[in-house]
Amino acid sequence: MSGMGVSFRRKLSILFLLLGIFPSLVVGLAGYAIGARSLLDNTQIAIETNLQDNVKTLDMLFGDLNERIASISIDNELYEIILKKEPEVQSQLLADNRKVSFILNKYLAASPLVYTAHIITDHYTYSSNSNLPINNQKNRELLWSDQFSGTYANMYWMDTRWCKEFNYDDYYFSVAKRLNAISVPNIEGGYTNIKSSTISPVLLVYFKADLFDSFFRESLRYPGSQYYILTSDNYVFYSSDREMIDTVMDIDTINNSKKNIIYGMDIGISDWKVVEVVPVKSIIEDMSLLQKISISFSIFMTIFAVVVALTSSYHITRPINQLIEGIMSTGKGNFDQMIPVKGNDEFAFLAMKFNEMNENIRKLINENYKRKLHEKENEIIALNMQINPHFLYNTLATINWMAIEKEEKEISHMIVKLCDILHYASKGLEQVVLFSDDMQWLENYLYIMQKRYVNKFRTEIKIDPQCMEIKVPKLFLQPFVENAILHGFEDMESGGILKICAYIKENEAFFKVSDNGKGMSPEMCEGLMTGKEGNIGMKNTIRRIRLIYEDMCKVNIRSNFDGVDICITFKIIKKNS
Amino acid sequence: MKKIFSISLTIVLMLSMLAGCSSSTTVESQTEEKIASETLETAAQKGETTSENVQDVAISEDEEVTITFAFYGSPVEKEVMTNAINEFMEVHPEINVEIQFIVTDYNTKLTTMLAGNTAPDIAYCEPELAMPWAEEGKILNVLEFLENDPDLSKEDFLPNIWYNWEDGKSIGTNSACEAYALFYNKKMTDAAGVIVPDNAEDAWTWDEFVENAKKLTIDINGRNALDPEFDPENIKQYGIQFGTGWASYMGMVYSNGGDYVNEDGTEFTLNQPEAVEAIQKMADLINVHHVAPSPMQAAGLPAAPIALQTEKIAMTMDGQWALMDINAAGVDFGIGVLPKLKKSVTLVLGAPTVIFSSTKHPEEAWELYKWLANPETSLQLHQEGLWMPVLKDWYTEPELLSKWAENNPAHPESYKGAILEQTLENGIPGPLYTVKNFANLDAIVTPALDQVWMGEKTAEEALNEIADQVNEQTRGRYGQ
Repeated sequence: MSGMGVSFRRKLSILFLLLGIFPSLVVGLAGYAIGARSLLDNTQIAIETNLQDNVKTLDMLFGDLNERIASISIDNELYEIILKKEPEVQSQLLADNRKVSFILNKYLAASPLVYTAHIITDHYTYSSNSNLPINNQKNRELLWSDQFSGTYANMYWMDTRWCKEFNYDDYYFSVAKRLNAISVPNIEGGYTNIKSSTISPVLLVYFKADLFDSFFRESLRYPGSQYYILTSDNYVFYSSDREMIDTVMDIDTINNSKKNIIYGMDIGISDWKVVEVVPVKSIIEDMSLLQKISISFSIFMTIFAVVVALTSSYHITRPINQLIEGIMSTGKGNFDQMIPVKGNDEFAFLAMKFNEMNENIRKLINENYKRKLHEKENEIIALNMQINPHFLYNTLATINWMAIEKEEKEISHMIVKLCDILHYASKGLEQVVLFSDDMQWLENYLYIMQKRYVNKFRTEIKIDPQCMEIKVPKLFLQPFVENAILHGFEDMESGGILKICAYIKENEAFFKVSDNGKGMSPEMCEGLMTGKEGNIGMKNTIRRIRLIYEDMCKVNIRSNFDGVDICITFKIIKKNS
Repeated sequence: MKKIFSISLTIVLMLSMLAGCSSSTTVESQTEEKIASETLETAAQKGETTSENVQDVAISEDEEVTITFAFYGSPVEKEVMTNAINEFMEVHPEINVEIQFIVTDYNTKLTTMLAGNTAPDIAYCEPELAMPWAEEGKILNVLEFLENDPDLSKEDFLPNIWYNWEDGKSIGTNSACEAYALFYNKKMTDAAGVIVPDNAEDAWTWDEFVENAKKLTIDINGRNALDPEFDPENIKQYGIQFGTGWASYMGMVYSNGGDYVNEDGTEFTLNQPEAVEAIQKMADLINVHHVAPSPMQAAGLPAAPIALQTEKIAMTMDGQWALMDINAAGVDFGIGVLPKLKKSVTLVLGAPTVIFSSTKHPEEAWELYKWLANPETSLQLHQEGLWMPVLKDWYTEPELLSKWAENNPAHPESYKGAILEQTLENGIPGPLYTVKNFANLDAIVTPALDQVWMGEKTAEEALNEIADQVNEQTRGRYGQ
């Protein structure tokens, strides 16, 4: 399997993974992108709306303040005090200031915006409270300034720069309005006329610039976002970002950088405007929930896809793997292997057909083999029929009797052995016999052979009695013994030793035939064992042994030109050994 | 096998689609919610700035009693008090407290509510208003509650802060205790080699006080007021600054054995020698010794904490509430006792919290009164220096003392001697506690004294001139 490059299963897994992950990623990313965009849009709208609302409220409050200031500017009671000539005693100014303060507070105390209010005349500055110190020099400049001497309603706004001299941590902005610019009706009738002889007093109202914080800082919920209060020429005179105060803002650059969303809006004060700058990054970062959903969804889908891919590819390739195993087993000659058949799909059908094929092959082999065996048996029967055993026996019996008459005991003995040999050989067609029977026959055979080759060799037989009960192929040692006598001792006149022994060791029966004859070349041994060389007797015997015992036997032939050791080993299985 | 595969694939696809849809819808609804809550927030915020009243109305259950508490103050006070009320409601789930935080024009609004029969159950109230209202039967007697209360008795409070409109009838004590003292910039006193005494025993005599104030008064040439060439027209740094209201000078008047009116409150006594001397001595600081700014000059100075910080003044005579702003201004400051004339004293003052008689739930209002009287519930305001406790134990028990008057920057080492002990041992309640019709008397006295501060008249002249006018307005004293 591993040698085939990318396996089918891996291909399937990758395919399924792609099928599973791709759509989930596409859908997840698309969802994220769409969600992010709509969130960004919504946020922009929300910020803008929020800013608009806040500006609206600010406008409303300052609109209300304008009315209050207008009311102050037509208050006769106030004019009565502030348009007086400079009193001779200063303490009178303190008393007047108390009254002016009361009047100013009547109008302004209800406005949450006002920090303090001053009325500047040419000889004194009245104040509504002592929140801020009075700077007489600056006030005088303001009083004589022609900046706002125009129309009646003219309000002159001054940004935080004007109040810089207070030098505190806080910032103040202010509005100035010329009083006594219009004739005002009196309660008693008549008018309070503009007094042209003196310079008209100026009402100066101070605001703490941090009031902008209460309107705009709350809406800066994205980290890094800031608001700026600008004059018409983009001078920042107040901001949530203290560093930026007293600088000129380059709106176009900020706008073009695309890193920030920037909103500008006129506020109802002078020609000032508020600019809110929100980093896009912080808005996106705010989408943590969206991100979490997208990520966890992607992870879930990926895990799901992996599980599905692995299991489905396993389920698909399992029958194929089983089939491959079956084919490999069949290739080794094992036709009994059956592939388990499950379900009723195409793979099950394939497995079923494969099993059927295996079964057929097995049957074919069996039939063929049995037919061959029959043929052989018939051959043997035919041979047997040719040599009529009864004729042979009768003849040999006659010879035996003749030898006994002539007192040739040895001849008689040989003939009896020969008869036994012939009898055993022709007795039956059974393939396997008890080793004791076979050994009996071998002893007879050896007797005759020793008579034939007097003094040429002697035999040493050592048999473990247990071995006698073992069933062995009929005459299975004979060809090896014959080979030893005829070929092994071929060039010897005497001194040949033929050893036959049998013993059992660890469930294996060992049958050994060894000689000290001229031996064979190792190549010859190898050829014998593989059945390619040797005389027909040995070749046949080895093949027969293997046919009967299959894997249960081993034939080992060892020689190196100095005798031959042949060892035949059987695994003992009680039932049929 | 094929079926299983195709089914699982279908499930994968369906799930991915479903999840895709649901994720985007979640985002939208989330955004909507955010916008909605934001709008609500801004609406609430605007409500606060425009309508001035914030009404935190909790959902009330059937058996729940709702009482209203009105108060004013800085944003910090609002936050601390709101927290205190919320904790109160946690401890007393049967009582729901509606908060009315009134940003501006508190007195007018409270008067309007009272006139319109919509008075709160319990509220901060200036004594100038509270005492006449109590006489008119608009305010409940706190002593009656105390008599029946198992936890608290009259003796648990400081003795010198009770507002009694008749004998045995009291609208209660201050909401918090306040007292007068000297606050100084340490860097400046160190530079001049001045050591400000921080206890009654070592209190400066008037001459010592003037001497030291002179050391601390410096003209633009760097000469102090002791220098014969000192230029009083161009003063860069004043030695002492004080307000010109009654709270500033009454401490010195009491120190000299004087008083605003006589014992039964029928006669104006500020024109008597003891009082005149004290007031004249203070005016001399401005006009003779040139160590204090006149009211005109003071108008050009920033508020005292900033003036201290920017070294425009070296010392200020102020209420202990100034601790909070002085500390916040980042000045390295110290506290000293007021100079003494005959006896070292301090003026004790503060506005009360009252229970209106129109309340339908006096018991619950009393519970809240007790809650607010306990410094524990507003510890932050005590720690930051704005308030002093009204309960005696908090001055004497070391464990309680350490909770507010120690280990915080608003209460330096000198605090204990200069304010805490002085309040307990030598604290004299201001005229508002005892003098009837005081607001109207003061309305006559203040302009008269302006002439004294401006150096136009002597204290004796100015006060004698108005004595008859004031005597017409005297209405006696309240009970004990």
